[in-house]
Amino acid sequence: MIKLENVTKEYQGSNIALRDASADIAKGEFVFLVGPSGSGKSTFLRLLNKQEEPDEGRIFVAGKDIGELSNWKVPMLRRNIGCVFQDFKLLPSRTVAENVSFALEVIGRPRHVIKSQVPAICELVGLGDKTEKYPDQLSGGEQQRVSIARAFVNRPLILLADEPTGNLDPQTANGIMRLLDRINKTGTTVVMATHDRGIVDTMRRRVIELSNGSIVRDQSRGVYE
Amino acid sequence: MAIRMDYVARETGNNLIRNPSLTIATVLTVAVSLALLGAALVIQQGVSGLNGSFEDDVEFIVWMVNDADQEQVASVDSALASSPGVKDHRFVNQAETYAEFESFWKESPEVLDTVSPGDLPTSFRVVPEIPDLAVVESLGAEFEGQPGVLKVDFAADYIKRLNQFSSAASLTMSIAAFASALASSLLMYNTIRTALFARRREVEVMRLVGATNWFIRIPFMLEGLIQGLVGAMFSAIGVWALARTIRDVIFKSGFGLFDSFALTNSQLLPIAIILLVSGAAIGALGSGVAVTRYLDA
Repeated sequence: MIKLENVTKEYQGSNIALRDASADIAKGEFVFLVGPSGSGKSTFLRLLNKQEEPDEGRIFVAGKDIGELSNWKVPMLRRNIGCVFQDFKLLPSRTVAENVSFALEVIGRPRHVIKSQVPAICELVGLGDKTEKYPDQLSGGEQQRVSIARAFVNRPLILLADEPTGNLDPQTANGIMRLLDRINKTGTTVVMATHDRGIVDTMRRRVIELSNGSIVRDQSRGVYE
Repeated sequence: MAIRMDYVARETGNNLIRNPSLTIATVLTVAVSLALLGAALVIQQGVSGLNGSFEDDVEFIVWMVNDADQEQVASVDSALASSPGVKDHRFVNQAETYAEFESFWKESPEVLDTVSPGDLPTSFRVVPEIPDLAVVESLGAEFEGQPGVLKVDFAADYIKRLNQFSSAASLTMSIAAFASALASSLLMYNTIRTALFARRREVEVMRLVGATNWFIRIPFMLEGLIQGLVGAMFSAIGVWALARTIRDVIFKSGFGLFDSFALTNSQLLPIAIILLVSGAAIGALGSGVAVTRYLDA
């Protein structure tokens, strides 16, 4: 599903963000990216949906070399990749339902699809009774559920999560992890960058460890270490 | 993928009312710059309408005052007939002048209503032997001071003066129009950038969930387009008012050199269309560039 071949990414005037990284992630896998801040986790994720371009190496998503994707096809790539962030990136002037339907609206989904999908996905993430609330009326965990609903409502092949539990207390974080696990069980490949030792150690999934931009460990059923 | 109209209409509307002061500033700048362009076009139109008064070989026109008596007309007539420099001359009475006037203003009954044949001056159209400017001017000058003569208009001089006036005026206006069109494009660019900044979270989410660039762009470009069109509408109204004022001034002060600057409504229509198209272009271009730069960043 995702394949990196000797990928290097360097930011101007700063350190190398990713150095000769290679990895192969199969469909339906759940992968943790671990490592200290600045080790290249976010860059790894940003390369996958073409928010960044690699300086060297090739990246394949669903069998296609995304380096050869013309600009106008990038949106189509992104429709197959959901994104979840530490800071949720919800739109404060829209309700839960509107935040979720926004994602469908802007890719031109017809209204009847939106009408049926949005309540279903809100139910799935456990916010069936809060669809008319605004983000600032929700707890952090609930807001992250909205953002997951938004990322998943289009049934993407891949879900990228950049520190999704970073702002949450451990109990709330566990709820989010159970949700991501359920999404993974539907066949969606999940790649999650995290520092959260407890989560990685309890989930026991594949772990890719980055250090100064290099992959230093790739271990199935790994721990944080 | 169909772009849903209700989405586009809602987003564009929200953008327009989100920052009213900036919207108004943009509309006004567009209006002012296009009004200058419109004024330049009015002048050009006026000049191009000029040549009608001078047909064929007529090199100068001796205009008689309105209340010139038969004797004065006869004396000018005989002076022209006896002058060795004059090849041919023709008296144009009030009825003929009115007929000329009528054909010139045939599209504007509102103008014709205000004028009767009695208001118009009679004239002699003169064809000289030698159509050289210096010779013609000294010949015409002989008639300038005669009793009953209002003035002598020389074709060459008349056209020369007008062309000078019009090229100077329309050059100035065109430069001013260009400069302010540039200013309004830049302001448009900034307005849209501000609108984009206000909506940067939305734009970021749109990009992440895979909205196409055009989908993101269209509401912003439409916003610029509407601002440009509204500005152009104001400028068209301004130019129309200007043309009305010129016409009134010309008709109140009698007829003469600048008659053809009084434009009819049907002459103003193409100018209005040019203004609207320019406004739309300024709006769509300024905002299109702003959005594209933002999207590619």
